Amino acid sequence: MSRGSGPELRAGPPPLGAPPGEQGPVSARSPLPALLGRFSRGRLALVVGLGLTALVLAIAAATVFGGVPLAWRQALSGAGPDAAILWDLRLPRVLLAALVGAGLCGAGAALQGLLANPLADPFVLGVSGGAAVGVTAAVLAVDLLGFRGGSLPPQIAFGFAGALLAAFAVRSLGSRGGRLVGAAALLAGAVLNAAAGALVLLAQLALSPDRAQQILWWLAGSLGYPAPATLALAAAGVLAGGAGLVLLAGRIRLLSLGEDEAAQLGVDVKGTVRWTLAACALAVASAVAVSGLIGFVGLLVPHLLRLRIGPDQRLLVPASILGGAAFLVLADAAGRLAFLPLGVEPPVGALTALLGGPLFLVLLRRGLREET
Amino acid sequence: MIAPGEAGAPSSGLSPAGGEGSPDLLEVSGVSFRHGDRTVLAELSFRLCAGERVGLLGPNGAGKTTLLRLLAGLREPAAGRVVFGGRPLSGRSVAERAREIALVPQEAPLDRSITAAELVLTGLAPIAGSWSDGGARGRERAREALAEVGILPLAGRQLHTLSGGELRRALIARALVRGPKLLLMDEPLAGLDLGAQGKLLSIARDAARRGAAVLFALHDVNLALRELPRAILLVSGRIVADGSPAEVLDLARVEQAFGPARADAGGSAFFPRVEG
Repeated sequence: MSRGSGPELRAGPPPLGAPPGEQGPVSARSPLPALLGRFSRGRLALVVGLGLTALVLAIAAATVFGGVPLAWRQALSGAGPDAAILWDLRLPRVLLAALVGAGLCGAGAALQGLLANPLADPFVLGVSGGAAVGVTAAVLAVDLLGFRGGSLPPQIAFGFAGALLAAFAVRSLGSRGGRLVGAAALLAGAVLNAAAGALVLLAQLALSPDRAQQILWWLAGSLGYPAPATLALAAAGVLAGGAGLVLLAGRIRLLSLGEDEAAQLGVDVKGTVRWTLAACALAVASAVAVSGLIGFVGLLVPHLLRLRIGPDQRLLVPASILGGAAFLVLADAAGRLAFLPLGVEPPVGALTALLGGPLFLVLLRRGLREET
Repeated sequence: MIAPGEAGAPSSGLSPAGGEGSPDLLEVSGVSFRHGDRTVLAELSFRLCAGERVGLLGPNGAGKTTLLRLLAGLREPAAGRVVFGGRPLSGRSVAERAREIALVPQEAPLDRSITAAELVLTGLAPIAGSWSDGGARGRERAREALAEVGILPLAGRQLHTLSGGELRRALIARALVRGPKLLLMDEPLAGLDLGAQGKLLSIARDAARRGAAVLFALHDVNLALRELPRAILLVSGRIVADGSPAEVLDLARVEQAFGPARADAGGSAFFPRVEG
């Protein structure tokens, strides 16, 4: 491993994560909070406050701007077509985007810490793919066996099982001698993804043509106009998974230093890994069941946030959950508005892949340069 | 204030005063470790008292790093037992062990985008909890630890911008910050210049004076000879000698252990560190 051997005691290039004012030469008596670490309760409150504000603003903006201008008095009164657009279409859609973004980005930030690799993302690692296979299996079961009682609960349950399997498969395939090797985990994820895609394609052969069409559209990563029950279920899964990740964030932070490091700092490594993967799988499966494969958001948002607030998972996980929600709300709204003249809605997964894919390549390139 | 951590509450009130009953802080008896079918450590037995400083000497591949990892609870011995503070190490939870045993590893942490101060603050996690920011007192202790190893001015620098020696000092500060009872250091002097080596040895002396047992893995025998009251010579996973450095390092034994070329390569000799 080559260590950058820059000038000895002079301040190098400003550290990426440090906000302005916390870098450069530090005098021996500079104030403690600025000097000692970027995490504090105050900073956490600030990050959460800003994240919530951003989310509320994004939701408001995405609700106000849409295909048709709303007559707000009518819409808010609860009757008439404008009210139907607002309450049955636009708001559920926006809230769904927020939930999916929160689940995928929270899981992305946690997985990056867990694997100590900035390239980790539920989509890249095949966790989303595993969930998609599970969801498709549930669709098959419901269609072919005539399962009654709603299709979303089994989809989330099967999706969770699929995501969990994929997550543990990546972990065991991607580690050598009990230690995770970032590149191996990413390769294992790529293979899992390909296998998952193939399984889903095979499965849809068994379905009726219009059902198969639905599956393809879902697979591309599209947000629909969910019913309240759908929204509530997805919310339960994402919030439970997200809350678990926030609770684990302190330990994930120590794990990002390495497994032996974490163990000598008192972290139960196996338990933490297991619970983190389970929480990620739950959040991801809930998102995938309602929106298909939306790739690279879980990479994009935590990465951008890390540039601002640093690598500490205790700030990064909550920030990614809130920031990811706001980001996907805006990305979906932008996509809807941009394609308005054509009269179609692009799957938001296509947009996030267009934005996040290049970032992945840039990070990969940077990582390769550091390793050689 | 340092709050009791969420990572497992102290399960007994036994620990604070230390094992008053037995004078030995650490008792290793018949400990073996295997990696696959290769025996890395074979039936090691020794004792460490509180306040003792001991050099663990041996050539590369002798098993020094493995022994330290085992004592830190990162590996389980295949046979034998380790008693720490009057109770078997294997009976303690990971969190409980971490409160009293600190290891200075050879390798850099995987995530090197954190700052030196943040690294040192992670050393408080075993006593303050993984979600704690250390509080005012913890920050003060981190500051003192950074000052003690002489890198306070570098506190805000990211690890990947530090030199090897600076990073090592940050790792030592991280181990010191929670005031461990057993301080395990894996080649702590490698990459340090002579002045820094002397400084580090005096830090270890201070830690021992405060009651910690300090075990150094070293390949530099001259230094051990000058500075440490006791040395253990480990060769191919076995303890060959245990006593004052002068006894342990009589020429015949050293030549047997290190080979003649290496015995006199003292000073700040820097052998490639490749042991497992």
